[in-house]
Amino acid sequence: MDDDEDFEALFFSETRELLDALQEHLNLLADDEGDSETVHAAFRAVHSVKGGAAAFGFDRLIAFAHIFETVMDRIRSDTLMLDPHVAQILLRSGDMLQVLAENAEAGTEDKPVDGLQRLQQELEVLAGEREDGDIVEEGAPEPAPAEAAAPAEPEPSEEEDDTPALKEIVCRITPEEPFFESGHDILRLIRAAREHGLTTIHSEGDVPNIAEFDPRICTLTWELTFQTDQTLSDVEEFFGIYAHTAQLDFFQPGAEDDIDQDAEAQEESPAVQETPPAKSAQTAPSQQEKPPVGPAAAGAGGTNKPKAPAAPPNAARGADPNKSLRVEIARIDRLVNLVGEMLITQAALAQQITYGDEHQVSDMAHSVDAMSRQLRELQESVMAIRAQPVKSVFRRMPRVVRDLAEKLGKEAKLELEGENTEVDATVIEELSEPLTHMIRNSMDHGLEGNDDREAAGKPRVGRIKLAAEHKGERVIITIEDDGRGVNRERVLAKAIERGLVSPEDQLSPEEVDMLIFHPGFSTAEEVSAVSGRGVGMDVVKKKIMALGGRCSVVSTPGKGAVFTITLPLTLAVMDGMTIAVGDQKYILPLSQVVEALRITGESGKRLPDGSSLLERRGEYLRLLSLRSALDLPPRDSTDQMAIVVDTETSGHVALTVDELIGQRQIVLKSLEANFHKVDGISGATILGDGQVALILDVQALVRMQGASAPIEETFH
Amino acid sequence: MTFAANQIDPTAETAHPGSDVRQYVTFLVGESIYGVDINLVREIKQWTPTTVLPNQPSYTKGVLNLRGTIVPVHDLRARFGGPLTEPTETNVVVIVWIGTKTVGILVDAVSDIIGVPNDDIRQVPAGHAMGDMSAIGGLVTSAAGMVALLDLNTMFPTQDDDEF
Repeated sequence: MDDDEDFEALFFSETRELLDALQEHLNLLADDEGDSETVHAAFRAVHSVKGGAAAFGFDRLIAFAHIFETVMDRIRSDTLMLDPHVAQILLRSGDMLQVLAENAEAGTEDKPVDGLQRLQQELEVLAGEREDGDIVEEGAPEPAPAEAAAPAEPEPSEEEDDTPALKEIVCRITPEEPFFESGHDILRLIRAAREHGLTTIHSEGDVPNIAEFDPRICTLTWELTFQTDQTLSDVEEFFGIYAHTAQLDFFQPGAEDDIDQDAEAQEESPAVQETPPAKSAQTAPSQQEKPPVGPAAAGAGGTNKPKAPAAPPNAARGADPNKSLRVEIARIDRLVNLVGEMLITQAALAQQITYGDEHQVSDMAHSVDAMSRQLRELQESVMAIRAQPVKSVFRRMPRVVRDLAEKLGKEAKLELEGENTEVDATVIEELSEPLTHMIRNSMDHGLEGNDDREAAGKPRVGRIKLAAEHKGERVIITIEDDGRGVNRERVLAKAIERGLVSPEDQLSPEEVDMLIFHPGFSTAEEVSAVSGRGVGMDVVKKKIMALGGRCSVVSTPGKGAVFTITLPLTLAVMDGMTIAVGDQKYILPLSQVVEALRITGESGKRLPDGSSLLERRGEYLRLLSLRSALDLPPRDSTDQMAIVVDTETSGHVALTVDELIGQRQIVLKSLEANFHKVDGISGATILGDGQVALILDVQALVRMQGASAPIEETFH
Repeated sequence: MTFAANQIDPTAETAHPGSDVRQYVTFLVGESIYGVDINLVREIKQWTPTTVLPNQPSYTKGVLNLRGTIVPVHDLRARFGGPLTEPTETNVVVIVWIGTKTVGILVDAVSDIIGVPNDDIRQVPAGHAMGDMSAIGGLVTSAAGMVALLDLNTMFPTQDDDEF
């Protein structure tokens, strides 16, 4: 059923949002910054997840969300004090809910989850459903003793005898006004109920005349008959999520004395019409989205042919099937307005051309100017649509810190800043991995153990700050910790051991720090499970560079380290400097261009080894011939320009070019799409005349042209 | 001047299901005739100057702009060890699909479209099916002479040798 899958996808996408919000609320609560509204919001998030999960029959998710919700409810009603211990359990429960939701989405709902049982029991203790001393240790066999699982498992009786007597349980449900508003759907309820042994559905009531019809009010009542081995309270629990939004009456026709429900409901029970299951199953339509409006619209299945659980989601959907973007309406409006403006300008232009004479040339120029401005704005607005706050990545990090804190036995606190800084959606997607890695690095290598910290006179709990801010056309992300800083002696020793530098090299402390980004470098002496799997910060750097960004580190021994990542705001458009070498045109990223100089006879010098230097205001820079770097035929040209560029690894370097054409915005095109990566080239673009121009990867060119050449300037 | 070949699904195995006759576009490079499965030909384009790529094999002429996408162009003559073609306006670039990638092949001229029953395809004699000749998937005789059918995947591997 496509319909079902659509709803399922929607459920998961909503669940992700709810859980993100939940994390935020729980973090506030854990930091003691929340108020009663935060508690309510967290409660509602858990409740909504549970409600959604119930509709799709994700039992584990429901069971866990249920006990979680009970605990939140107790906090909400002040029966349970929110102390740090409780807050910790809540945080872990938030993470657990996320894991369970992810499993459900991946179609591996039944996959064993580490710590689930224990956490569930801890929640039960908080919920007052279990004694403190009664927690079964994690090593206990996975199918928990029936007694232990009973309070939360909707189907606890699996271990009873093989042919349990089926009981008949009837539930009358009359949706009240908030039912639809709460997002419930009777058809969904019925489908889910099939899993619990629903056999017969009977509906009563009539749809009002169209003039009086109010879509919020449901005038129908359904009577659902179950043939089940579950107890009445199990069935009641299944309907529990509807308890606030519908009137529910339960009764057991077979066992009158068992019933402690409404007397009124009992009286009506003899009136129940038994409908043969087969008949109603045949009339069951399956594509109904809205509440059914006629008695025939309800669907039912029999216990003898239970509906197969929803098919696991397509494997092809991958980790994140949610490729949609939420965009503020204001941004769309802005686009619509701009397009309108441009249409007017275009009309004006057309008119000026049609009736044009000499005088109107200036008018036309005016219109063309207006159009360029509008186009630029249009482009910015389109880009803005893709811009998303970094929040979505940042929010995953507290969980990373918590997991690591547990594994490493270090307490640490993560501060987030500038979560609303916006970056292109593609950049955000790619950011998660390097950030996680850097946080791991800070946790593992940066922060000392709690005791060591105290001994060093620092606060016991380590601090990591993750911040984002805009700076010009780039976004700057910093990861700052107050740990021990980069261990320069060890880094240097390792670098020498790996042959990355020679012992004679006189490296400044900053240069030593930068070595951690060197490919193949990882300071972890033991390959730990946390970081240092033979890959290290070099992978981070590679990834960031692939995004057109840079990274650097500033470390103060004993005080901590600050890692800085700068990224372009978008990957699709950049400012470039067009240059010509021979008959070919190339683009240099403008962000790297420092200045352009004319090379005169005196400013070019040569070192004894033949490499060229350029003198600039009393300083010597490496001079690199783009012609030879780009494998172009040599040509004797005396009149050349030098462009000074800032490379990440080798300081300022001057490149000789034949001509400097100018600055322009370029649209990035991939060379890899139809070809493969070319060393020294980061991509391509299409010039105004339709020709392709290559975008130069300055770092790679410099590296290719002389790995052994001396470094002119220190890193900065 | 651009004329697009029929836009047929490039992944389709045969042009006419149920028959074993395939159609090939043949083109000339000097005296030699080469053929490519018509389903893999996207379009045929007049030569326009390309943008040179650094540090590539000499047969890679560079890249061109095909309506907004960047497409590499390879010189077929040079690919088979011949001298580099000095292309003029009379040369054509055959744009083909190789797997998911679009690639241009510089040839002298397009000559014909021929239907070839699968049974008529002959193997390259043993001993030659090595080196450059491994890019020849088979030989077939047409009215104009022997046609070497190209195995595009072998000739221009599109596998990324990226370490990422």
